[in-house]
Amino acid sequence: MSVAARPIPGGRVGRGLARFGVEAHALFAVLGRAGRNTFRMRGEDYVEQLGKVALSALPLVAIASLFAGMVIALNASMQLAELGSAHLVADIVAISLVTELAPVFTALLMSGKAGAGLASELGMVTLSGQAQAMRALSLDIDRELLAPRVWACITGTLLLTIAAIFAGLIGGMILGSAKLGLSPVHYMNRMTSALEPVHFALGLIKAVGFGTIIAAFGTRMGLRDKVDAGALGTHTMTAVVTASFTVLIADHIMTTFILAFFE
Amino acid sequence: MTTHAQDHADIAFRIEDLRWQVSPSFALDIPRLALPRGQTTAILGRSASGKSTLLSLLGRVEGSYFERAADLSGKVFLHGLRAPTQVPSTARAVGGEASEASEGAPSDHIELLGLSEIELLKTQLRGPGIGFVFQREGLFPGRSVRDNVAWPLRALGQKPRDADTKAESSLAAVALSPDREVATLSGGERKRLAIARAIAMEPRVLLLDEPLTGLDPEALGGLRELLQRLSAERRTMVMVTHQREDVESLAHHLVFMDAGQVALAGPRMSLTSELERFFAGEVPRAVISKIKENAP
Repeated sequence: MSVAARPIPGGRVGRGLARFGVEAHALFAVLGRAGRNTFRMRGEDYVEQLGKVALSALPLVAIASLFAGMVIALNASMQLAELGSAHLVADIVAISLVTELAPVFTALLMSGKAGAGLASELGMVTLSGQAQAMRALSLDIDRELLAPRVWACITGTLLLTIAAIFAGLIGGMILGSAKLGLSPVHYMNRMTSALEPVHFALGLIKAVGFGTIIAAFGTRMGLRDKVDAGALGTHTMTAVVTASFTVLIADHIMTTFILAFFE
Repeated sequence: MTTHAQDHADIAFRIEDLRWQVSPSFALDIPRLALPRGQTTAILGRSASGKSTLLSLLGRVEGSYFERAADLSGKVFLHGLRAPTQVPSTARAVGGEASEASEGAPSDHIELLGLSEIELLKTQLRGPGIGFVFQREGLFPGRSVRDNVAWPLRALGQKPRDADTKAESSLAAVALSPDREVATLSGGERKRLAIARAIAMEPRVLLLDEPLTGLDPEALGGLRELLQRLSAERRTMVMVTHQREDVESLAHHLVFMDAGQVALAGPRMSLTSELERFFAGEVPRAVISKIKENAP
């Protein structure tokens, strides 16, 4: 029996909690289905999706991160100059990019691009009757559609985060040498001495977590039942908004846990 | 008293106490219904009388990818068809006839509603067992016409060359070029592709939801001939239709639906006057329903 049809105690709060429970279960369900089909999906499907998700977003992420690196370097240099510590700009840019800005920045861009793409593409599959036709032909939606997209989104977010880190560091270096007169070699030395394994762990684990969140919301919303194009639009928007929101909350939770683990 | 096998030798689908509250205002309610094996059944009725809903249950494509249909109860037995791969004993052992299957005796029936989505996938009952042609075709737009037919075959384990050969032969049967793109097809051509995709799997049971609606006269004649050929091969076909010609040229058995219930069912030859009245606009009412020789 569906949640809507069953009387739920607790009024609006009870119904809200029940709906939250159903949605949370559905999100974990899509991830579980994708996980079970990891070794059943075809390699070419995964590569195709990875190209769609990661390769197509690479210029966007790289350019955005390049400028983000420059802006952080500029802002940090102004504050540090007052303290007479302008040479520390490389440390601040490197640590903030690797641990925080690159993963969050990439995830928010991916929520808009990959999350919306997953929700609308799978939404059309549902709306146009393809999903029903696939069931009627014994085609496994989990294997054919879900698993390649989920894994491409997770690994794509990770790869793009790495690209964003590099682009951001280059941006900081460009600004450091052009505006602050720091030599690239000095900048590189400061960066490498500032960055520790925990910073990379923090950034990359978060990237995987964010990719998982985006994939879960995008595919869940895409494969939800739809009656018309209006529902398709609503589900796509919901996927983007909820994924972005959840990424920001998850950022805090993951940072707290990972730092506690490394301390 | 007859034995179970004698009872159901001529039956393809047997429905018992089926009830599905599809929405607050509409329920499918069929206490008993049997559809003949190796013959064509036409399901007739007004719009929104439950014809396509019943067909979706027979093909087990009701509900959605995520959830089984809520508020659905009863049994739908499929007789005389073995799933391409083994049906799990837990799925067959549904209801009162569990012992027969669980004891290892060869069972000629499957209780369809007892199968989960995963079991349906594993057994490949849908597609190679039960073919389905949808009213809105559900074609795969990013693929070529050939691939729309060949991809499902390949995904089910056929070699690419065999799948392509089979796809081309199915497409030839509906007079469609394999090299075209789906986006360039007209409404009638889309229907033909949907039929080609279903018959490429050579299902023993074929469910068709308004398969010949919206076709031009030339295509209509060719496809009706194709369906007649399939019917002549003693294939079980169940077809939702509004067209008199389809009924007269294809159907052996009729089911009239009204407000989610079976108003009347029986062999076409015994329902000629009711059929006449139906096409004159007098649809049999479920409240005064009478099932004529329901068991074929």
